[in-house]
Amino acid sequence: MKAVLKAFGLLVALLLVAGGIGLWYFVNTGVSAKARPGRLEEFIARRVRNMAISRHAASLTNPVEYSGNVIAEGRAHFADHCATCHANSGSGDTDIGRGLWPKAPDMRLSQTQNLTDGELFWIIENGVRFTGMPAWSTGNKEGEEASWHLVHFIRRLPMMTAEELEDMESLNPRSPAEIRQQMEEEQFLKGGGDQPSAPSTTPHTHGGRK
Amino acid sequence: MNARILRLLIAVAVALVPSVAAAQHDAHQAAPSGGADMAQCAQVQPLIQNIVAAATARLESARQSNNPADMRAAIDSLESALRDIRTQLAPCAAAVTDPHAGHTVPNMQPAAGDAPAASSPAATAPDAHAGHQMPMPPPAPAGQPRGTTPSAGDPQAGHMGAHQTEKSAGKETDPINGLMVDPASAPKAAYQGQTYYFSSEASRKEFLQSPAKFARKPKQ
Repeated sequence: MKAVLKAFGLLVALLLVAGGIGLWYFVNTGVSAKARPGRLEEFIARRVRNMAISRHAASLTNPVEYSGNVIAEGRAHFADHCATCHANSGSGDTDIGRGLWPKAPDMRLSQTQNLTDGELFWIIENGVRFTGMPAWSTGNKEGEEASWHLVHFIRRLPMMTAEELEDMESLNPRSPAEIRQQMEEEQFLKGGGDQPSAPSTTPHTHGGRK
Repeated sequence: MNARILRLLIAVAVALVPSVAAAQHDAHQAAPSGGADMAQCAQVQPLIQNIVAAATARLESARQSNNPADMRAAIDSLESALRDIRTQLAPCAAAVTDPHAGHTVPNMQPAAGDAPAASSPAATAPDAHAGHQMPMPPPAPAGQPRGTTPSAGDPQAGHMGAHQTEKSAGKETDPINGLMVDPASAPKAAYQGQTYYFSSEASRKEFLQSPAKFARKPKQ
């Protein structure tokens, strides 16, 4: 009995020491989102996420029929709402996408493309907990349909052409400064107004979307 | 960033030849001077009739089919037809003094009030479309900031807001990606008696690999 108590005490002491070291490490280095999650963590997190998607949802098929217009809708929607983090190309190579923990995935790769339509839909509607992916559900039919359009569009990401990317660039959200500059340039092109002002004298370095 | 530099370069280049700029501008934009608009407006009429006829036919065939997917598709095409018509009507709106002032087309006016452009100098120019948000390609500052400023009342409007796909006269839609293309210069392919136009060779290739997947139902 005494031996058991001793072993237990030792274990508690060991845990305390390990915890202390861990705490010391975190306090000294800070918990940064810049790092990349380790492989084991990524593996476990993906498993858990896949388990979190209800089986019923995963088996759903896209009720919206493919058409050029559906893709155009999805593309416009993606450029407006998703590209800020995921990039127009779906690469995730944006200031926000790179800085998240876990990083925004490259949606053109199998990790995303191998998900079923239902799983993609579920993730758009419900988001992914503890990541940067928010739930976009609106709770109504129009919202769901928009999400299904996005699912069609996400399937197209690996095949996107330069023309489509160019189209998206005109649909990306802009900051008031960018809008002002564009208007000044247009005004200038029309032959009126002053020369367009140079890009803001104090450029903030967080802008930019690839 | 590159796009910005490019735009600036273009601005400088055009500044050297202001007359060209003025001519280009006149060609691009429906100038708000009366006569030319009237003529354009008259030309537009048969086009609109075609659009209406096509949309009506599509609706009718959807009704006959009694199939939800077809009906949804018909509604979509009706929606785009309405957008087409609105685009076509632009010169008429400029020719006549705007009779629609104060009217809003639901769906097409996402957060117009939020758009900072509404109070900007550009908007105070004699623009007959002010408040109408024409889905015209480049100068869309008023329509752009949807994402950045979702309308205050409805937090969900941002996600659901209708995204206008731009349409313009005499253009065709790429069946793969919905981009508008000019049939005169676009790569094309024939399938089951219909001609399809593409925004790129890659797109055409993709179509030819599995045309049945992308072929549209007869429209007209």
